[in-house]
Amino acid sequence: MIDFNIDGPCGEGANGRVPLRVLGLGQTGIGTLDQLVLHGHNQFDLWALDTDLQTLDGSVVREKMLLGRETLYGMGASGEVELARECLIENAEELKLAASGCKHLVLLTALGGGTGAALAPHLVDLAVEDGARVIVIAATPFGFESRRRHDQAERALGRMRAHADAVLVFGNDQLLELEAAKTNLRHAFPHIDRLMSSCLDALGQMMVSDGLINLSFADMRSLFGRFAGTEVLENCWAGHGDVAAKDGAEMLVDDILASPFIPEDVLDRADNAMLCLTGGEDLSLQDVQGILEELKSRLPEDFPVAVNANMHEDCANRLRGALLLSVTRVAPEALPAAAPDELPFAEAEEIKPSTVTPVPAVSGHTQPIELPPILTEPSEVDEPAELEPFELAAAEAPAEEPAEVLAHDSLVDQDEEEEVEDDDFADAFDAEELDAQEPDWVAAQDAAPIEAASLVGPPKASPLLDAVEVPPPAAEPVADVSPELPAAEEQPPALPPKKVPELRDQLPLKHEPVILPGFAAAAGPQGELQLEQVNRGRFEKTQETIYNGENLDQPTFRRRGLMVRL
Amino acid sequence: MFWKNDRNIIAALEVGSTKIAVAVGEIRPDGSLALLGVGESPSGQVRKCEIVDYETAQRCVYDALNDAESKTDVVLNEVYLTISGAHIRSKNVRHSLIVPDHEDEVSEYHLEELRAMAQAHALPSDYSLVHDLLQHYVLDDDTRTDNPLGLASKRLAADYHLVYGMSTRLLTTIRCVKELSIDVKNYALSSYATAQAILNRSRKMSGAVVINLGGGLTDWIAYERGAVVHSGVLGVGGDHVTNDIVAGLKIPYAKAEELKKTEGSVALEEARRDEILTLPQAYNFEERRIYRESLATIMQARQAETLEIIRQDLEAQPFWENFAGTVYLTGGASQVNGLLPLTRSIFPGHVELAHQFPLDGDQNYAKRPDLSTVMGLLRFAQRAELEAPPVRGLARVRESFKRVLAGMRLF
Repeated sequence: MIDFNIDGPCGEGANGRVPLRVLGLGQTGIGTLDQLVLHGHNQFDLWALDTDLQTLDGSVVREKMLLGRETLYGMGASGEVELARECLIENAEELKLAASGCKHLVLLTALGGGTGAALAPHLVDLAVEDGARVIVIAATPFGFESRRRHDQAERALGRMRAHADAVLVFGNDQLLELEAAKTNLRHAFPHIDRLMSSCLDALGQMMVSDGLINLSFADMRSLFGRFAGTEVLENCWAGHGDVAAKDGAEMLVDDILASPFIPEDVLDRADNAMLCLTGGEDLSLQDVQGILEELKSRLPEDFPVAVNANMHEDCANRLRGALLLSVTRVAPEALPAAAPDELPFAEAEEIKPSTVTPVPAVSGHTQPIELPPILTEPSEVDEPAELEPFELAAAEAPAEEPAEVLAHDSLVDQDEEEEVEDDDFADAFDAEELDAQEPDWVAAQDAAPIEAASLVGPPKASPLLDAVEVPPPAAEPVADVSPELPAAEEQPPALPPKKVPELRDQLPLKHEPVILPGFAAAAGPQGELQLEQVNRGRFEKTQETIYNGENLDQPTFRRRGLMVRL
Repeated sequence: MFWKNDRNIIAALEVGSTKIAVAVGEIRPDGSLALLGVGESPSGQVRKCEIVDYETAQRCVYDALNDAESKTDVVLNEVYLTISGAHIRSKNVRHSLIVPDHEDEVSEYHLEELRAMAQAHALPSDYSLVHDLLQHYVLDDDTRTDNPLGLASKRLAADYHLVYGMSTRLLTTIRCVKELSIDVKNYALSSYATAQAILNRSRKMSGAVVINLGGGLTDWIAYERGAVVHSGVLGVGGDHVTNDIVAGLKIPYAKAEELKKTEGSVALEEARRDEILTLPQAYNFEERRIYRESLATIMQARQAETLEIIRQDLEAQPFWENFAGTVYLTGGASQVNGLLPLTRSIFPGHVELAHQFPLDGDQNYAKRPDLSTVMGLLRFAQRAELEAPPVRGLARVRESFKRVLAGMRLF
């Protein structure tokens, strides 16, 4: 008998913490929370944080926190990051309180303003330190806004992506295409709030509810936790549909795809999708299958769609669906031109030399399942939340965890290579220690997202059905397919010019995924970059060199998020 | 008398993060300076030009002094010392006084009083003054002059560039040398000393910034109209580049240092995309293959950041707006390939690699930029010796005995 815990924060892993807390930071974040409350989805722990008293007063959220009472007098940060940073000192305790004590934290904010750009990365850091899993839903500034705002948004985004588990970024520019916004500006912003709240609703449903067909946190992270820097800004589009059950699958999919925030050209950019379905008590597997098939018929062939479905009593005779589209790769044109036979994917062989048996043929669109984050959280390996549905359904014997074996093997290989020579400077640098603290995050870019919808029964039901979508046999090797992905051909240029654009754009972001023998899907360890804990190496005993808040003893390329090929 | 044939030997000691160098020179009777030789020793436990482990550092200083003595065949009993460290600060101050009615011209007394006021300038607690560098005097009609003696003015002001550092850290370095029975005769800021080796009078007059890219830290000093107008120190140097390579490429420190010296470059465009460097197998080290581009990326990021910080610091100074001089690069880390184009892309004006003005004597060290500080200190010492009042009578006898006794030391 397999010990089975509920997959999700309601299970034993919650440890008395709040299952899911939602922080709305700044005007946009609070507006989103308001939308949530107004639409009756206030089952989560909602907190509103802002430096502007007026915004807080106007919010219907119960828990409110005014930041910078002494320094900003409740008048807001006026888009000034420096002003908002003063709250970090004044409200250190309050911020810590807001970010701690929860198992999952969702942070809603817009990055163009001062409050969001200054405090959001800090809140993410605090929550990660406290052991929470962090999802950020952020909006970037309009294209016509000042360069400074874009820069600060990009900096904040880079910092959050380095630490948060998943970051969903919506572009405010989507509003420009909105019919309602064209008539009146006042109508525009509630739309982005509504978009973010529907997205949050779908996430909450996925994480908190015990779905019939379940997606785990790993799926989430696989789709939205892929970028460590700001090479791609906007990585998420969402659509929402709500129809009567009798209208059927076609109407629901129409409703979802007619959402103003799924632009027509989005399928050229997005390369993965996640569908969250909610139905009444009479929702059947055939219904889910029908909706999925209908949706897939509208999407490009082999477009990976992960599905989560559950029942809710409020949804009697209704069908609700939320579709999240994501970008998980950088457009090939952002990569430097290389001859087909010398593409950067070839280097995977050097990185994982002996423990891997590469399966030569995997379709470019068929995505492997992400490995659980064993490397970073070894104590939680046993939690089903850490295991993808694929393993839950397929692996009867928990001892057989090839993913873990692979991860440790690859670590051992690296360690053996990195013994520090015993020389006059033997005291200088502990490379092994550094390596242990710093997972191979370059390789972490490789892990490809999920395309499996695993059917897991209700918690007490013992038979577990496996509905993993078997990837179609590949026609050509990865190295030939990936750079020519049609989905990424018309990737728009990043909004603001970056400080080191030529470098970041040129470097490859992917390697060939690691594939285990006997498994249809491939997997790779998803590491996280822990900037704050990096060993200072040779300068461990000296006074830190701090310039403009940056610790210059830490490697520059890492602080600036530059990719280094190994 | 036996002291008549005394040679006027001066020695300059630099305790750096990479190496400890002692330059020994002789001031000839005509006042010119000849280099006798340079002793060197790799420095251990000195980080960012500050001593981390006192005993190890002291042993390295001892080795360097021994090396210098054996190469030059002289016995050293006093040295000039460079002062550096990330704790060094500087600022420009102006002090002024009223020339009393009954004195109708500026006299030596007024200048001394101004200097005393500058030296008594309030500094942060725990900090001591290293240099009070005179920029110019200002008369009451706002005219500037270098020498106001004999001029009539009711009000006299003087602009000074003050350099100061944390007393405890300064004393640590001085004590480290003094405990070896070597007197520290005087000391100079590292960047100030460097400038003496690179800038002559005309370069100082036309404006110059000297950036010394050292192993443990980077320092810079700016001259305008012949006077020091700004100086700065940043605790980032060549060691950081090596440290970045260790962290980025995951190779041992010694290998990274070697790789930096042999293959290092900050020219990204020259690093061909898929060119691979091979680190050969060695004892306890498996063969590694490294992308040249990765190495260049790491080094360029660090070097560009350092130079940008310096530029930002200079931009905040009032003189920079009208600065039309040259930026000179020197120091051990300035030998890296591609540094000049990178610096030119960051600094708006003319940039060039600095060359020391040649000294007489031993020419083996003339072209090494990593010795520019210690050579500059030697010039500083030469000027100090020539300007010092001559030692006469009993004092001279005492000096001679001191040298004889120093030669008998037993360490």
